[in-house]
Amino acid sequence: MSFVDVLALYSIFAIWGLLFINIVLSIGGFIYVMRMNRTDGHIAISEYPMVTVMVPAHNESIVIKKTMNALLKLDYPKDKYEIIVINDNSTDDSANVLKDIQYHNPDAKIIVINTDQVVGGKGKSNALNIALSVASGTVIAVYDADNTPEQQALKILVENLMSDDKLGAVIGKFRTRNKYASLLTRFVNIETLAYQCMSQAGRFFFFKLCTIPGTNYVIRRELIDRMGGWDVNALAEDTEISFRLYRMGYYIKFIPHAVTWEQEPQMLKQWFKQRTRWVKGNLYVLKSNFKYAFDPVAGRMRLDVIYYVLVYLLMFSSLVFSDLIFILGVLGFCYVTLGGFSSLLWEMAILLFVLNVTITLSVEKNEFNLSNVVLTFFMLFTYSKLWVLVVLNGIVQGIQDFVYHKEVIWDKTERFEEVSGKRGDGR
Amino acid sequence: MNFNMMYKRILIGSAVVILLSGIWLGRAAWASEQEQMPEGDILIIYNDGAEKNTLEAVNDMVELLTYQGVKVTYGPVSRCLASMDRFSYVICYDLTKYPGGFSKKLKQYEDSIWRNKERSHILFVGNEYLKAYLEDTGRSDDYEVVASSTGVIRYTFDGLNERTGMVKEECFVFLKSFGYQNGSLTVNGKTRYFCATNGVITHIPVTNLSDNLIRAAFIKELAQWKWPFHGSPNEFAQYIVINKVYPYEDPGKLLEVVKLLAHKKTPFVISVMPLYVHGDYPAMVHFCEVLRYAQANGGAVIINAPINQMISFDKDIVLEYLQQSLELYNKNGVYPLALQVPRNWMVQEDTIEIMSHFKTIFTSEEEDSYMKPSNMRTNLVYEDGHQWVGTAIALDDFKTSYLSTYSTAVMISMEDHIKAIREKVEACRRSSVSLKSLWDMEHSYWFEKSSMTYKNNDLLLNGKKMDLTFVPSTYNEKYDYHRNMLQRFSKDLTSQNRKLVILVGITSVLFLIFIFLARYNNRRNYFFQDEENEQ
Repeated sequence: MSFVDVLALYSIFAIWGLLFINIVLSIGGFIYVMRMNRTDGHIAISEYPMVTVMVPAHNESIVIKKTMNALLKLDYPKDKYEIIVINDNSTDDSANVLKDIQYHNPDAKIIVINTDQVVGGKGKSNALNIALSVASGTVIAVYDADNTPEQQALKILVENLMSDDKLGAVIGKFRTRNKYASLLTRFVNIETLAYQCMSQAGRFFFFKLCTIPGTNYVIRRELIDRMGGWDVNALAEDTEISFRLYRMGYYIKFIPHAVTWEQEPQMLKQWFKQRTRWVKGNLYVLKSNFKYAFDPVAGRMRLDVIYYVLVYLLMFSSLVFSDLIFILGVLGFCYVTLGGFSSLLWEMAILLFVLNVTITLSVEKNEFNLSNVVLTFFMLFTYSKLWVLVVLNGIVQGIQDFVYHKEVIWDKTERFEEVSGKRGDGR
Repeated sequence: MNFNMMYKRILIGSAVVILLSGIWLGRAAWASEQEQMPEGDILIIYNDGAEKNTLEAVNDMVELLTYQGVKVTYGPVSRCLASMDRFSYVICYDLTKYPGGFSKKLKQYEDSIWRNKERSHILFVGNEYLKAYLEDTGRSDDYEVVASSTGVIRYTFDGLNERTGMVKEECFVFLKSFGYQNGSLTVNGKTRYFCATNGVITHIPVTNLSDNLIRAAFIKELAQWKWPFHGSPNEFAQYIVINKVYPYEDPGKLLEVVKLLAHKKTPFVISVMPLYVHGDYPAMVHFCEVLRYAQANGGAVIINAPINQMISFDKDIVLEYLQQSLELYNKNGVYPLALQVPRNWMVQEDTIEIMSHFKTIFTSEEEDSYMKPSNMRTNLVYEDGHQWVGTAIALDDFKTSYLSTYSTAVMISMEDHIKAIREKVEACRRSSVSLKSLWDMEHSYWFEKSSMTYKNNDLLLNGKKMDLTFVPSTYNEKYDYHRNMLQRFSKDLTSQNRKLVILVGITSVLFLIFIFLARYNNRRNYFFQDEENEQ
């Protein structure tokens, strides 16, 4: 058995193992989503708590107006929620736009905090911590500045949070607002549905585990206070805070009815930058929490740590090896001599991948169509391959940051002016 | 001496030097070419600048003549011009391009044969040059031209069944008078010979040796042509060969075929693929048990050459592997008597050296794709004095042998259905070409550390007589494969593949049900709801 055989064997077991995990999660997710679809997501509560909706914004003048309009139209008692926009060291005319919104909505409680480069400009966690210092709500909701939540989103999230004391946070679903903008956003749309929503639903169904996605979620104020706010060193503050909630003994619930629509990067460069930031953030969280993978006290959080290890170590390495073996094999530099190693294995994996994603598409409105199924197939050979490069870049940058003691910089995703016409949300 | 004068002298001097150098180099090159033509029994002459088809046909002739134990030299006409006298037989194959003095030289050769009162020695294959030669030598009335490009060949190999086929040439030329003729060509309604001899000239009009019928008829006539005595040349037998049997193949089916052949005492040969490791694995023990049974019941075993995958061929490695494989088979009581090689191994120096370790060589129809085209001018392999068995030329569906001009092998594939194998064996039994056992001949091979000789029914391996009676194998039911963790995984991968396909099938069906269920729910939730709202 040659070295190439060993690598091929490793790749086969890793890829099929992860595929199996994803299939199981999809089955769980499907059952959960179908079960939830029988309800409207609402749970009656006696009294609605005061909610602070936080919107961290850095140079978001292009999208902030639309976001604020959506937030102001939220179906939630008007006297029970406030909106805090942290205009974080912006250099565009965000301040004027926000001032104008305040002026035209005198009845709404809108707080705009304009920070300079001394106080602000240190990333999302820092901005959220600033907002926390002036927040009056017992429940904190976070929305990114490019989000347009549906009217019922906040109400559904809060009702679910208040109905169970063991819930630390409740997260909703986010959809791609600009999915028709480019081929890239169409891929992102499919990825978001399959690997953010269905996977979250599956994890919650089986293990009561979810990861806060950074937007469209509510969390108990007292828990944030107990944590000492958001970790300013974490680029993936959402994952980091999820792990801290697990350790405090709370769990996080996923409600597919609470939907927000967000703008995704339309250009490869912006997408690559955003995803690299996610990878670096997740690797930071993984590094900080890896010790808990073997700690029985950590409870179900261990499963999530192991899941991250599987994704970033096993999946990444197996994809690199299998791609290398394929390329070198085509060039005639190496070949696999394993018995039973056939292209059928890869073909079956491709079939399962496509079907797996198609399930997710089938439960969504306006997503189950031939073009999306065809795109899913091509996604495997194009978009998914980019993930390997993103992880590689994230690892390299992470090592550079560590070696040269670089300060963590929030590399903000660039926004785009959306043209009117076909809209992703179908509204 | 003025400047002009000196300039002229230098110029003339230089021209003379260049001219002399040219003449000297030309003569040297010519002499070198002449020296390169090695001696032999038969000289095959073909066109200067011959195309691929011609070279393939010449190689075919050389191969078939090698099986008949003839030393052959071959080359383009310009190279052979001065060498003809050194050969007893000359074949002019499909000549169309030749130097001016060639006909004169050939006529001198023809006359010398006449003077010595020898039998026919010049074979013209094709039409154009025969016509030109007879005209150049003042014999324009000795031939006729039939202006048609197609004809029908009729030929009988056993004197009973006539085989027919289409032939195609640019035009057909026939000798008008001849003493010997065989077969027939019908062209433009006229029936003439396939092969005829007039004096020292023999003529075969057709050149396409890639056609099996022409090839078979050609080699039969060639054997007759070069036979120095009256009557027919020596006859050779055919061998039934169960070809390229791998140790991992179904031993039950192999045993069935062996029993089918052994039942009527039909001699046969099993050509096994070389194996280098795991000779003690139960599958190999079982495989060798069947081979031992075959050995004890009229079957002989030969070994295939290792499959070459070396870009730069290393004969020492191949020899080492062959020895290793033979030792492994020997340990299991199986004694291969001969080596089977791809046909183009006959024309490569390295492979010829490998073959020189074996007395008996079988060739297969396959070619070693890693071998470069040969630039030999003679069948060097002839010098090793092998016993040759070539593949039978297929003339019917059973691909049995119709030729007894050299030893032939009729191949049986283990991939064929048992019914097809049975029919093929029956066809061989009915064939006019006799079947022969390898045990009726002498065989040997040698390596640095081992040797085998089979003579007078005694098989000596490293000088020690081997017992060929069949002894059943003993099996260890709980055989330990000594697999490490990775090898176990690899084995599991093989055995689990079918289960995986079933699981993927079930999962796919489950997913499809999910998709239909989700679509139904979505239609009910959105579509029907919208309709109700509209109402």
